[in-house]
Amino acid sequence: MTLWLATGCVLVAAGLVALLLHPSLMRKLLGFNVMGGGVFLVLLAVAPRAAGGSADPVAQALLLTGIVIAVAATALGLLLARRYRAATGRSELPDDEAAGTDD
Amino acid sequence: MNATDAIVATAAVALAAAVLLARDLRAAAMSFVAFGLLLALIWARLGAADVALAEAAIGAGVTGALLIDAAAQLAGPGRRGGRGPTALAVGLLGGALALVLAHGAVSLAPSAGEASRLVAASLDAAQIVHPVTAVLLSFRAYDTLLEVGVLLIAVVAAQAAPPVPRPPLHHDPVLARVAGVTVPLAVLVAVYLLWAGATRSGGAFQAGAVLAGALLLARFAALPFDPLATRPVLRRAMLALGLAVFIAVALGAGGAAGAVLAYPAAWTGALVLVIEAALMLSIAASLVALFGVGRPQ
Repeated sequence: MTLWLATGCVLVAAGLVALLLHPSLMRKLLGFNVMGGGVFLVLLAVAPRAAGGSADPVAQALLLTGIVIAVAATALGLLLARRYRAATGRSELPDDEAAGTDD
Repeated sequence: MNATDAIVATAAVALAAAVLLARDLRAAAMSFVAFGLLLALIWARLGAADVALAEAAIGAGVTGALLIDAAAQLAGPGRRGGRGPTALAVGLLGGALALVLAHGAVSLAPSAGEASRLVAASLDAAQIVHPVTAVLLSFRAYDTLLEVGVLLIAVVAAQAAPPVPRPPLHHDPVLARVAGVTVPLAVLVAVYLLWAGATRSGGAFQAGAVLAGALLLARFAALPFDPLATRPVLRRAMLALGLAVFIAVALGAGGAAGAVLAYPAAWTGALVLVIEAALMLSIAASLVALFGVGRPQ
């Protein structure tokens, strides 16, 4: 289990760093999804096994819900990114300095 | 821990790196599909067959298709960011975060498995054979109800935004031929997954994702069977069906059983199947709607 916990934690941190650093909106969404995968992995790794070696059904139900919500959020995010691209011609967030002078 | 687990874990981290560091968006999106499939493999190794099915169908399949579709339209001037002192600081903080998280997770007191024991002990009372289905539609049915609501809200929000102009799809005879064989098979698999959910791994979410794949393939291939595109009333009805049926059963059957979201004893199996069938149709329609693809010209 320690192996999966460590893998999950690395995925969460890597996804979060990508989410923070990439100016590209789609890359932010990719980071968000990798981070989500890491969270799911930690959740399933800490949940104890049920009888018969299958995973904890409560954790499985939580993950199923999480996967559906993640795809809904990703689809909405991609749609908003497209709208942003159509409205501004950019698919990246402006730099902080440039954003400051826009106001 | 064994060698296979170590290889799979290393591959997952390597694929995540490929997703996050890829030069162009299309390569990143395709790496994400591979990453999702590897996650499905990990869920299977951890004994979570239901999650593995959902990850393969939704996490890798639908999300991957959404990303590949968007990659062409969102292409930017290549990978930027990830240089300079800010990036270095964020990277170091990220590494520290991973260590703190890992330390916290490893030092968690091992859970006694109270929840899964409780589920196993209550299965007879719930009259549902498969534990995950029992959690989703009986013990924690409220969560599932709200989840369907969230999905519907996401669709409404997506459709409220004015449509983004996109290049029209063209009729492709090879794709149409392949889809003509694949779409009926996928519909069959979806119905099987729905039916299997009562007694073993499967259920509305996995079935809905596979059905969404079938409907999207039918649309991309311009098959004559595309009820959602030709009849807007049907599309809206199908989007709302899952939540409507779920609420109707929660109140109607719940009224008969004495509590909201409770099922009258003899009717549990039938009512769960009705809810799951409605959910499958709504989840499929929602995922198709979130794609925002019109009919080919």
